[in-house]
Amino acid sequence: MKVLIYNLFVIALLFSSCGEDAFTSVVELDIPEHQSTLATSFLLSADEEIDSIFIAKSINIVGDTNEIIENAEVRLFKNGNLFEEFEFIDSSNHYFPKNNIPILADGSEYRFEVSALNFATISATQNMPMIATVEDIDYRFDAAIDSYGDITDELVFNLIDDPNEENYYAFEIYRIIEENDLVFEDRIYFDVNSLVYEDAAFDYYVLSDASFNGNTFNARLLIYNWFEAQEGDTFKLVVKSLSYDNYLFQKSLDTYYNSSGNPFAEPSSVYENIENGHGIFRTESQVVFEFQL
Amino acid sequence: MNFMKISTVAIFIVLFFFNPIFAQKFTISGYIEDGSSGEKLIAANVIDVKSQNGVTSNLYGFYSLTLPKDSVILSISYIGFQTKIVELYLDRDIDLNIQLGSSIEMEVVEVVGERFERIENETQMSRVDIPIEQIKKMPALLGETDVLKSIQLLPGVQSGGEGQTGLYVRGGSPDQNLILLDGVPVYNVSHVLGIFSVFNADAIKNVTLTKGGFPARYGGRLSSVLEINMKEGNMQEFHGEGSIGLISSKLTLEGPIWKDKTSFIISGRRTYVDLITRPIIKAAAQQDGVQLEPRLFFYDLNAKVNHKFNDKHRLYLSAYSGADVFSSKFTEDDFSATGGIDWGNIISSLRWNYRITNKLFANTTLTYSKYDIDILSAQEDESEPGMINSFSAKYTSGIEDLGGKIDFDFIPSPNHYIRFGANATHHTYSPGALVLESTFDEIQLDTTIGSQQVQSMEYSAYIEDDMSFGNFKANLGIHASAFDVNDQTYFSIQPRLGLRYLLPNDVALKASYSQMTQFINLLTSESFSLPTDLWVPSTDRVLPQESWQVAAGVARTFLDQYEISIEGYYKQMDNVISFKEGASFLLGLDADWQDKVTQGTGESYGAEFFVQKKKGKFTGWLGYTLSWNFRQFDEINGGRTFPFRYDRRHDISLVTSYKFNDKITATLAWVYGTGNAISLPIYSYPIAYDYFRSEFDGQVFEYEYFNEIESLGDKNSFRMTDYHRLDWSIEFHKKKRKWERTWVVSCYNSYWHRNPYYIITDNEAVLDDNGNFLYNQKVFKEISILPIIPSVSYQFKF
Repeated sequence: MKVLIYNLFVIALLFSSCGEDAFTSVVELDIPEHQSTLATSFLLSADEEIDSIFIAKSINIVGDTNEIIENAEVRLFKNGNLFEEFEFIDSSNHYFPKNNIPILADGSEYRFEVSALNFATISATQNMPMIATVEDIDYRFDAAIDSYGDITDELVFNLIDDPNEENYYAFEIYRIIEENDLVFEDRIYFDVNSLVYEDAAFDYYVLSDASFNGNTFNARLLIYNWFEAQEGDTFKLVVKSLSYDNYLFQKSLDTYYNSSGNPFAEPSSVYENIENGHGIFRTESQVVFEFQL
Repeated sequence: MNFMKISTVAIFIVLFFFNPIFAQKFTISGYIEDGSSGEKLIAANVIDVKSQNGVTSNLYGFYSLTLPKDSVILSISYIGFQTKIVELYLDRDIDLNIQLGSSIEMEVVEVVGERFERIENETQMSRVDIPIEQIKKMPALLGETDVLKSIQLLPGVQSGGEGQTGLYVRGGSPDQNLILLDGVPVYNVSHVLGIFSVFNADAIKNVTLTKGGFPARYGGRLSSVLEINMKEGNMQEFHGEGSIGLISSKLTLEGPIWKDKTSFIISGRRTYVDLITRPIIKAAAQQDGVQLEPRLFFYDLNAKVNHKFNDKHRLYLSAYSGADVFSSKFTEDDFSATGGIDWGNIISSLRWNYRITNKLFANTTLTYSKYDIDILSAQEDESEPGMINSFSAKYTSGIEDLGGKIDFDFIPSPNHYIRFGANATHHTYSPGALVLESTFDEIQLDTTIGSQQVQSMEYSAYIEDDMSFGNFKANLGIHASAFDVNDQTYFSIQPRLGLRYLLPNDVALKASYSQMTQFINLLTSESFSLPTDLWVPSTDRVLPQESWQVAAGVARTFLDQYEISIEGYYKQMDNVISFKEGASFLLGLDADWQDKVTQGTGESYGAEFFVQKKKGKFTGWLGYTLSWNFRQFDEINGGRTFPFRYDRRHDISLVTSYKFNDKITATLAWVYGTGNAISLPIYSYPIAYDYFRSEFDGQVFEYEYFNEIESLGDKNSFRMTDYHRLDWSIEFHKKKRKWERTWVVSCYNSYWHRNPYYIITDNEAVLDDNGNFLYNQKVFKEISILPIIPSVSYQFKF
């Protein structure tokens, strides 16, 4: 009888305590003190205006708050020479280029440097990749089947790889829509069915030329049917050449987001290449093709 | 010169094995059985009281004892049975089958170690037997008795995540355990994401775990060998037992087909959550105008038949089939969709015992083991008149083994027990393939994506001798193996050594050395057992795992009731496998599995203390493990050595049973372990991570998304809070006229300790004294999953 009463008590306790936080408890862990450094992320794209830059600092995982660095000296060097300087604009919390000198896809070496009071100077160096050579772009309706089993359209083209370089690529597709005299671009998501592609953050793919170095790679991008592409639509294909660090960063960002808070994955960190600091400096060049279906 | 050498060696061997060669000797041999059921008794003790020479019966109950011509007083003993004394005059070879009857004291004898042989008399160290009756008494999660969770309570063995059945033996990972069911490897040992094991305790006869000092007959895994043998079936009369629990029911039937010649046992278990919930779910769905048919269950089916042709030949056929089924079918008007995941094992073995002579025993086994998983997604649309559009995607992966082995036991004298044999296994791996089929507008597509099957052959041969010279005993052996996959062949020679020296006061000093090689790997999470875990072979890129282990210790029995052992060990592992940082355990078709893994080294050392009481009303054990466990991979943690996730400095288990009387037995188990090692972020910084441009009416718009990146410290450099819980069970027995029933009330995690499963970072609002929001503060939160869980089950036996 005592056992019965005890178990009834236990059952009552069980069901009365299954509240929102019944399985969660805050714990205090002995986390080592982190030495704060400058942190940034900067993408330098050829044939584009230079992006504005956000400069912050790294902080302890618990107990600290984020802080924007407003007094930094931000400079970009090209082949060892000062190329561009940046100034802080209060209204945006960003640093903007003073001269807006065009960036060319000419293989130049860029060095990015940030100095600020009370912090060590941070820097990173990247080469600007050459633009990719693309041929034989073809759009085929209902020509493939995606990983969900749906029939899809297919955008096919040949990528001519430079045998003298290790190359890394990414593709983007847009549909150009004109409505009521307005023109806008709609990102087209696509699927792939080749093991050459690797997942990058935000449903992009990146790929290395390791398996086709110096040869022609036949890219086949599967356009989901829900976009309802029709004859006469105007599409834009962007083929990007990525620096190696850019390629690693985009892959690591994808695994980072997939593993964050995911007990089914090994935890991971985002790839960094900033000397004396944290974050990423990366480069890419791109070639754009507009075509009508 | 060569002839001289060979002759000398030959003479030495003859003298070594058959000394004194001129003494006239004869052999007593036969089988030892449970007199009431005919079940063979494993490791029963046969001792000549006069000379103190003795042997133990093998896995099939066979024994052979060779003694000089003389009068002999044989003592045949097995715990839980009455000791039998047989007096005879040995002047010829004698066949003597011995049937032991249940002990008068059996009702009060509760057994923890099954073997009667005292721990100090054995050469073997690092081995524990748990009788199935003890396992069945243990408190169990949701009342489901679990063999593997009982094993987790032994020193040197750690559990994985909360409630999981994974075994981490002396720093090894779950794939480094060779788990044998009637001699056949079992590849997937868990149901429901590792919460329950596939072994139905009602069908099991005995369980033996070897975690070090491996004799040469074992091979193929680095860390442990878990042998589980099914019951053979009662040769005398028909019996049955079963149980009805909260989530499943079991029924076992056994009996003679041909009395004293052929017997059978069949045992089944099935969960029935789906049977209860299906009508409710269907009714709820019908109210919304749709049909929903869920199928959520797992089952196990064990069966065994054995036939005794005569005293020389005996045949066993055993089989296991079990599966998890999680699926549902959705139907609305002309549209239907089916999705689900099924996984399971099929295992079978055919064993032939042949007593070739009274000193030579052979067992030949044919084995089959298959594990596969199917993930199905299908839909059918008949909304267009006269047309059916359909699509199905089926992902399959698994492993299939077909093998044969032969093992010999040769017992030339009481001082030598020689085992030798060979094994060949053909493995077929299916690392994952996706079959897509669709029909749209009368266009049919049929595509297969993914890895092709891989075949391999694994061979092994061994010889070992368990020898004794006075107070000194040794087990010396060698295990050789080879693995052939994709034109790549690996060879391995693995020496094994076990030593025992008996000091005065019956204190045994023991030591062992063993090398092991493992040719197949399991790609799995360190935290979970998932049905999608893949068994994959060593390849030209993924090298075989190897280890060597030394152990030393002392053992002694006190007061005839308490066995105490203290062991220290050191284990070095090479080519251990791990997922690369960030790799998802949910293996897809997007990459070759070899690209997702990396290999490194492992190091584990520690000490184990074990005391157990085998007899009396009060029985149980106390185990304590002090251990260190590290890994090093060039591609993980910057190449720096880091603690393994289950590097558990202190691990304590206390198991006690008390039999109040014939009607009530109570069992209590308390476990404590240092918190698991875990990787956590130590700093963060904001990052602009995505640039998105859009052109609208001639103007370019830029979007820049910010997020906070959290960066990890050294891998596994933090600890979760310590793990501990108390489980208990009480059995209420009652004997009826023709049957016996037992109510079992049990409770898991009785004081509801929030044992950590994993840790997340989260923002928590900081408020002022008036409850107004000030700012968000980042905190670490531990997530626990299993609260206090009471359960009740009803068992019956007839």
